[in-house]
Amino acid sequence: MIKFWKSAAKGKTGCPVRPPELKSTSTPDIKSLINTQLLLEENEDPKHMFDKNSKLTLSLCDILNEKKAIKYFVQYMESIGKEVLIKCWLEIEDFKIQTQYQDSSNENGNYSKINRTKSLDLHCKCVSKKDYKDVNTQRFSWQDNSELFTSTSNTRHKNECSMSSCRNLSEHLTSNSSNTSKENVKTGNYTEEAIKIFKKYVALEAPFQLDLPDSNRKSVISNICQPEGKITEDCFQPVQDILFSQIEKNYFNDFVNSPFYIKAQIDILTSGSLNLKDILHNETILFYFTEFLEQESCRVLLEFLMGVMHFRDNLLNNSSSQDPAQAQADAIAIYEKYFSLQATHPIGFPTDIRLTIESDICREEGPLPTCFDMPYRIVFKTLALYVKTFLESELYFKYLSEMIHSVENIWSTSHHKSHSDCSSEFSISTQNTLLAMGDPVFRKKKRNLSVPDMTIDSNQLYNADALWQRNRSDGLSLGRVNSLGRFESKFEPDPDKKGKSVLKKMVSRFVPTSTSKVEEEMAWQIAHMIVKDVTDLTMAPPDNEHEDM
Amino acid sequence: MSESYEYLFKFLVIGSAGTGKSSLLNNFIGNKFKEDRCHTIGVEFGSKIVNIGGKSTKLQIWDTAGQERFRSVTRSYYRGAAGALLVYDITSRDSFNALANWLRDARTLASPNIVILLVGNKKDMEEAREVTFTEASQFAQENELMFLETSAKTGENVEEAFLKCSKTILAKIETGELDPERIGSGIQYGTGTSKRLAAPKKPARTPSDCACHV
Repeated sequence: MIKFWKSAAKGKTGCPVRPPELKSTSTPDIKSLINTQLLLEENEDPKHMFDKNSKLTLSLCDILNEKKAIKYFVQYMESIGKEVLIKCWLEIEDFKIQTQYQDSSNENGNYSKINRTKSLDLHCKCVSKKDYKDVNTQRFSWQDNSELFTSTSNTRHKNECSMSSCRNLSEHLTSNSSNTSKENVKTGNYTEEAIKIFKKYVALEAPFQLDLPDSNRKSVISNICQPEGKITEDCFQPVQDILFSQIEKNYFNDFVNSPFYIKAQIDILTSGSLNLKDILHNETILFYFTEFLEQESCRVLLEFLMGVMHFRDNLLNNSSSQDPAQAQADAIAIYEKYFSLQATHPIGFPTDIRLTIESDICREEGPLPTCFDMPYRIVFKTLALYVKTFLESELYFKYLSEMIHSVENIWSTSHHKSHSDCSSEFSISTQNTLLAMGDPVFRKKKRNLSVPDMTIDSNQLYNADALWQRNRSDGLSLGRVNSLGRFESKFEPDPDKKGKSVLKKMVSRFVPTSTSKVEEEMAWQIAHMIVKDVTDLTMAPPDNEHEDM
Repeated sequence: MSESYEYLFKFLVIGSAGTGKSSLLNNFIGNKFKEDRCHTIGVEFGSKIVNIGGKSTKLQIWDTAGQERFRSVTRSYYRGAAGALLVYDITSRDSFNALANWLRDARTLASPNIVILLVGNKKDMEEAREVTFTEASQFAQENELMFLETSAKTGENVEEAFLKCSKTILAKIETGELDPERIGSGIQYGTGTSKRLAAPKKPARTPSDCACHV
């Protein structure tokens, strides 16, 4: 191997610009694209190419802290009846913003009015993460500087600075020389606000209980009841932490699988165009994009990007535990696949790039994580060109239409769920006949049964065997015969299986909402008896094995 | 390059390093077996159109790196796969012992409906066998997996593995258990389908699968 590297390095002196010897017959377009791209990539910031975030993949942080797609999340939480959590979160956020905004507005008042427009932006509550941080840093720097201010003559606002209300911002800015008297009033509002939130969510007897541990409640109390009467904007931080972890643990995954999340994604898809990064880091659309690239015969570029990404991440993240020999083996694997003269999947990089990479890999201390950055950038830009075509392709439209379809589809199934739940208001009023039961929502679940199956196939009348070949009408089967010939009743559902048995759901559809649990239980028992009679007659067992039916 | 197909499935090949995942894929898509291949970095793709019960189905196969150090990255590709081959090496007890971990990842990260087939590779190396057929099939049974022993070198059972997995997916589509139009199912309609006009298909039933009706 060493020998090979040496011989490769020798060629360095008189390297030609183009690699005439590369066998790039399978990928001619790529080669030409790559060469043109080379000229463009001088003054580019390569950092963003390695970012791992896709607009399409929303994390809980994106939603809660940056307020992306928050309306869908609120809708989702409302749909499962857990809106308290998110509402409390939002109220605390509002409270925080008011406080911070307050501080920064005072700062602006003290120094100059230059930042006024910025503060006014904050007023709209559409604070992006960046602004949010800015406010924080401003606040801190102001605190440091306030010491200085005390010693100088300008002490007007020293004590009141953190206490004015944001609603009075404009007044405050215009008349900041004479508002000392107002400050006390504002302080009152401010504390009131905190107490309101406390009473609503945190207190022991609060109308909206959040399932907070006692220690948490206590620390909030001590945060609010500061002896100096000052309340900091993060006095509810313990509550927010709990909320965050509760939401993350219990609800976020279900949200991601809900139609609300897909709707949020559709919003993103329709509001602006995607870039390569958005596609690379969202598996769903990547599935379509990969197929698109295959049709364009340049899937190898995607493979290359992913390979380099893995290589780089691995070296950067585990730099301490990294074995240089292993890193070199990884680098060589990539080299031999895409760069070498005998490469199995040549991409067609010019010789100078190949030589640079050879020498980068053959360092004594092992290859640098960044040794493929240059070709990565070139390929990244090349693929970015394909994104434009992709966004106009049939595959992309298929993706979009499947997104939309999924929203509709999940919705119809989830409605069906709520129908079968005994708490549903619809269960008796709209669906009280057997016929209705077989209808829309039910059938939708089964794609293939789009036509109502009310007709009788005359074949079935004469062919007894066909009876058993019939399509199973959803939910109406009582059980099945397993491969051992044993009847498995759906009445006694598998204890491992979550949720009610199919039959139980079915029965509850016929029970009016108003009836109590007891009555429902009764109805169910009667249905059980009837069904048992039927099964006893029809499924007469050969031995006593089926007694437990 | 746009052959028509009715369905496109996203397939994963997962399992410990050195179990022959890439060789399986290469054998399946018609490449020669290489004794000393480089390990995979990141993901490699392969695709092939197969005919399953008269339906031409394209498999988009994601061959992942098996090395532990790449695990965190490869895991991110699990989402939205319709099927997976979970590969171990019959001559390596360690690769068999690691299966539970791989399986847990696949079940939690991929879609809940993912169809997984357990593959015991390197069947040709009988003399070095460390994992018996019986214990592997018991593992498969306990975890509701299908199971095959293959040899990427001789090609034995390789195609069967992919086909068997695809057949199960197709059957799930036909019974309505999987909805290809649901995003994240790992299934796309292909160029050759006029999906909404497709006639309702009669699910193929085995006699043991008959249901009793009220």
